[in-house]
Amino acid sequence: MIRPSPRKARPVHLLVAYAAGLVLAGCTPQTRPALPDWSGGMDTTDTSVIDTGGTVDTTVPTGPMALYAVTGTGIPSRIWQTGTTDPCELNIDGTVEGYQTMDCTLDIPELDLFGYGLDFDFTVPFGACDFVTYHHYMYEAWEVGTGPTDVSYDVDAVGNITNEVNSVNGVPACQYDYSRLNTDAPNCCVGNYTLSVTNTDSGVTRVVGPISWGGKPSTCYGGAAYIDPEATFTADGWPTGKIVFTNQTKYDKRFHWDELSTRFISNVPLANHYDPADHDGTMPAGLAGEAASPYYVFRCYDHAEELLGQIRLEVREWNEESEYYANGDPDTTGTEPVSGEPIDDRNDWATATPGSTDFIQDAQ
Amino acid sequence: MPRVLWMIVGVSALTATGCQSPDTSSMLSITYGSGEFAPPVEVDTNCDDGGCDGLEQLQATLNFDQQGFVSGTAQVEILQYKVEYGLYDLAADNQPPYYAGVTTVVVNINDSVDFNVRAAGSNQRDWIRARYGDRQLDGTATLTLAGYDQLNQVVQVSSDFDISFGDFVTDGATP
Repeated sequence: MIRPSPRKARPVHLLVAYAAGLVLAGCTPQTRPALPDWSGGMDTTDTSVIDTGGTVDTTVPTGPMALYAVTGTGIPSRIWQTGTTDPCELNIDGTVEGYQTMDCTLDIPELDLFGYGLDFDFTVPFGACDFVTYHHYMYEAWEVGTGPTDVSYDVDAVGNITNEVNSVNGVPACQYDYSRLNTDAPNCCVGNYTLSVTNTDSGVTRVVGPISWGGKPSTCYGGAAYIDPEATFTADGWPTGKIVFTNQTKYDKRFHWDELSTRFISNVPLANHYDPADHDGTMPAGLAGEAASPYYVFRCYDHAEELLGQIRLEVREWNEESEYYANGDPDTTGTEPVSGEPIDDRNDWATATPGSTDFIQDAQ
Repeated sequence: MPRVLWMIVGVSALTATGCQSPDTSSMLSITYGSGEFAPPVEVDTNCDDGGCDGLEQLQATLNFDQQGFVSGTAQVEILQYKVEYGLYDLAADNQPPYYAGVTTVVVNINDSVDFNVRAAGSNQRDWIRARYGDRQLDGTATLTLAGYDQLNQVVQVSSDFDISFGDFVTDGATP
């Protein structure tokens, strides 16, 4: 039997390979330590920072993506993770794999919302997002619908109109065209119709069409997206979401809406919170609309629009200050013990459109 | 010494060298040329008067020079920078807030890369203007770059340059 020589090369190769392994694996940290936090010097309004590279971003976020209540205004609002008393802070890691989402609730007493307005702060940390997007809550105030396709009536030589179908006194009528009866209301009737008018004296029928019902759905919606002081709109009247190139820098923004009292009679335009128990176990009809956005939504994206983090916000108005501070019931009802005034002074979704079929229309 | 023992000693030396973190930061330096955006940098504190375009830019060069044993594939990736100010007429504890930004500058060993960064932003401009109006304030600023080397170690390098805040116009002349 031939024994292998202890001086053969194989053990040396193994040692070299082992040593090389030490050099390669043992000396290179698997993850990069955090860079110094210089986010305090980042100019969030300056998106012209020059980036000469093309390498994958590996920067570790320096804090949470978060929503915070504004302090120092005298308005006692708070923002917690929905259903908890934890702060609305989302600790994303800046990667697609690390995506997280969080629902948060801003609580505010009802007259503060109605008579003062709404404030909150949004922040994303340095090293988290290439882009930030946000859009605000909006609802279908007036039901949008497709009108009938046929309109017809008969008319005689002196102008008497009879046998009207989808017509009132010779004017085409669509149940979704609220402007027919209220000039301040929108026309939410979409689609086309064919108009057939028969002259009863001559027996001739004239057919015209298709004719548009003329509705403009964007005028049938309302909410924070519409009354945002910074709102911008598409050519056909829809509020646009905002996209901000943050370029991995820290981004801070304060959102503010003015008081509702000068324009509305309820808190619905800003308070999107609803309890399904008040709406047949589902959501109010206005929030189920095709273009409705039930939440204020804040998102963090990479360069290729992969979602890295998302926060959805509800604004909930409280009927009693004592309940607000006790974190009790936001929807108490009844009358105040001495004055006899109602405890629930301003409509929210629960009282504006209970159930799931009614639209708020001009009760906003 | 038997050959195997020599190899073990050699490997040990290699291991020791490889696992001691090379001081990459000491091999980095920042220099400034004489191009359009070379220092001194002028920061316009009144953008309504002549605009701020073209000002505030700082052109610099990052140099990565080999010192001692370093892998031939050594590389540094700079990801962020900050600028701190030392204006002559202001006390040390009354300087504009530092400016910071992100960038990506990759330089290989024994190579240099030119790059541009902003030397100041709206916070600094507003800070000066709120306190000193259109007055021109001269001084130095320190540019510090931070990033990683090929071993994923944090590296930093700093260098001073001349800077002036004032009511400049884009051609560099004061109005």
